Amino acid sequence: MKRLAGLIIVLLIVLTVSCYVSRMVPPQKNLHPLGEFYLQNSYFGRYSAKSPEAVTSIVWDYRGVDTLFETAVFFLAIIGSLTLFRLNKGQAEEAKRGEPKLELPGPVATVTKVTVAMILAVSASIALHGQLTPGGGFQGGSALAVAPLLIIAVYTKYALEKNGLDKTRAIIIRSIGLLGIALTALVPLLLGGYIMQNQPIFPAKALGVPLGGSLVFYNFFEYLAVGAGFTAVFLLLSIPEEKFRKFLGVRR
Amino acid sequence: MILLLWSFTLISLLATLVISVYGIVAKPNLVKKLIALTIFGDTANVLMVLLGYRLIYPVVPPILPSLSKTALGEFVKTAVDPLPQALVLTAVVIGMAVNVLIAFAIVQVHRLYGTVDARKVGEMLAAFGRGEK
Amino acid sequence: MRGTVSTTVLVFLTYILFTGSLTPYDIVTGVIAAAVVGALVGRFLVKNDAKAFSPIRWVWGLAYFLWYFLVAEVRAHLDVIRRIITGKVEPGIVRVPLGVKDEYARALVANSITNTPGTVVVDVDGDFLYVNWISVATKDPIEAKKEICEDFERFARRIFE
Repeated sequence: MKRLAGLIIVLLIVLTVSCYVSRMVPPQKNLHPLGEFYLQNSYFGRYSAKSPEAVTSIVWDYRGVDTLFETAVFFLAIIGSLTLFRLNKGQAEEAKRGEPKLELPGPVATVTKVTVAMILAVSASIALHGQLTPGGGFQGGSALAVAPLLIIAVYTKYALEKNGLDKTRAIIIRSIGLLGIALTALVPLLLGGYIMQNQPIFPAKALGVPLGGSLVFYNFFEYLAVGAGFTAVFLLLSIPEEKFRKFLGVRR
Repeated sequence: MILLLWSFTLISLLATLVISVYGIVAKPNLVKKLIALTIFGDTANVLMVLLGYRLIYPVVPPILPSLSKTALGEFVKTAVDPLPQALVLTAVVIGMAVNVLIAFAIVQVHRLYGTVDARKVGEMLAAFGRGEK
Repeated sequence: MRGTVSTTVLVFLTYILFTGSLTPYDIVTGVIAAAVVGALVGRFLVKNDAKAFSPIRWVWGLAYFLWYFLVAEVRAHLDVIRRIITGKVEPGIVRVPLGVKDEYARALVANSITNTPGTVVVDVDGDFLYVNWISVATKDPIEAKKEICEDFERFARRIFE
């Protein structure tokens, strides 16, 4: 009852304030000049990124350095998680010891197998069409990370590790992605441009669709980095609780 | 009417921000703090996307419908601002990674101290500092 | 490589359907992505390549699709609508024996039962399905099977076994 009263009071306050404010807020009908510049120039014009998707061209071209450093933040957050759960060699071996076990009824597992294959297809499509339609490396990578998560939920993490996707491999794939981003960002420097500049040496158009120069490369590498980074974290997070208590020496 | 709805959206988002800050500060449970933090981050993102919205009809996403120069004028007249969307896009994924990091820390705290209550953890740390354990 | 080709086809179709366009770029990237995914997960999805590409099974699958959505679904919906109006419900969980062995056939039967209104599979235990039924007409497993899933099983056997 007390909670309900609080809720009603908050709602009433919000309603009154918005009634009061509604006469003062300007109707937001026009674009900001900067937004208009991006819309005009993302495909046409002198400063074009050769991509019809304005958001992706901002993310990886006009504001590319921002994104580069945000990727660094992502990198550090994942590294931080891995450091918190650091295991020595023997502990890592023990964490991997275990048999894949089906935790849910048979039909669920069968449907999961098919769904995982389809999720991989969809995530690849999201990532590789980032310069044409909504989507891109970040979103595709997040979709990619769902596939190992489903497998962990249904078949336990040992099924992933038995078939070759363990934490080390996931970190290697992630490092390949980050290295790809760094190299693509450094290529323009060799040609006398700025870092991350979208130079004409990257293909503007191929196979009948605009590629947006370096955008497609950044999207692909970010896709690998985000997907594999989250996979590594999920693998660590799914180590059974009893094993971790033993590693930490907690008796409770 | 449109303006009322618009300001209601803005004010309720601001109220959500305030409530989630209260949640971060007032709740002693670390998991509840994390939940409040994610609500705070997501609300901030929605507010940011809303800054780029336009109160017109029809309004289209910032993607060129066709690769011809004739469609560009109409497109610029109806498309929303792409810049806030681009900034939010990266913030969402980074936010998720940072949330995973915090969730990890909370799990570890629970393993080591057997509780996720910030006050109890503080007491235990203080006792540990005095050398009692 | 067992299952690679058939999984590649499935993944490629999903890719094209999700993308919604058919330019050369989509086809090239789709084939590459599908081949990689097929090589990675194909061996878990398909046990027998000949079965996956058998045209008769595909015809049966199509026939099942049409029959299921045009006949079985309509029948179940009408039944549930009648029950909602008259209020004649006797919900309960019955045990139904499952006659098919193949995992895809079992998944198909279980999902078909769940997807028709009025019946939901709540658990699978060995060769028995536990079905939550809107009106328990009979508690006898064989009779209940005749009511709930005999037709589904007949099709599932033709498609997958």
